[in-house]
Amino acid sequence: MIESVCAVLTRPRGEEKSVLGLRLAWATHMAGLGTSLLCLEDGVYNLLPGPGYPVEMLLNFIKESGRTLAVASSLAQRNLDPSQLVEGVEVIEEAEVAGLMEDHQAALFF
Amino acid sequence: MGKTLTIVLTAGSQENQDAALAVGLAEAAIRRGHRANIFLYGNGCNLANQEAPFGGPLGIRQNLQEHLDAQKLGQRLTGLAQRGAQVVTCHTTEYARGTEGLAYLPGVQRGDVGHAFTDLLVGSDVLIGLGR
Repeated sequence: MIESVCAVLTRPRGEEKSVLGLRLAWATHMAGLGTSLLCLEDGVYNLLPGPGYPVEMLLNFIKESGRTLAVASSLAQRNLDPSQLVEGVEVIEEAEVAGLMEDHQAALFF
Repeated sequence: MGKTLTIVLTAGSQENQDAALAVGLAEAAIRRGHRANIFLYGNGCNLANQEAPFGGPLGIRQNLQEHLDAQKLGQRLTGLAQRGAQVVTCHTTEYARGTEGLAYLPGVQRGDVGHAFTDLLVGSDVLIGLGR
């Protein structure tokens, strides 16, 4: 039985892939599976505030205690400061990603 | 006792070879005594439906048609279902493409990420995502 999933967003807001990842993370989280949402590369753009369904989905996920993470180097490469992100995002170093993967039984990339 | 593999497929059959890899992987797992499921998500849902052939002249060169036909996976998906695989599609991503309501290939089941997919996970030992 798969009991934990890490949904990894690498595509930015505006692409269907990022919404697919958000929806999947929401579904597994609400089904009681241990779920983390990791944003790296262009995926970090999903963590900026804004209008519309994707941001509402993200905020609901965080509100329901969904663990949401961003990779610091991906933010820096895009000149994004953690203070610009929605509240509740945990910023981690690239070196910590492997440990995060080890904490989950599966990782799905979007 | 075999294990159960679930593949989340987010690519259709023509855009790259990820769908062929997913189907081939599921076939190989079943051949080796395991169980396999495929969840058709995003562009993966383009694999779910029966073909609706055009009645008139195709206007496609024969070698191009052969190339396109070689990449179609419908019969192999139905074959997987006949061998016990659950092939489930996300009706929301079908809706987004205007294909929800079209006839499914034999063996394909209508589903969603909130229930059908998470149900698959409960019975799965391995989860793989494929699709660029």
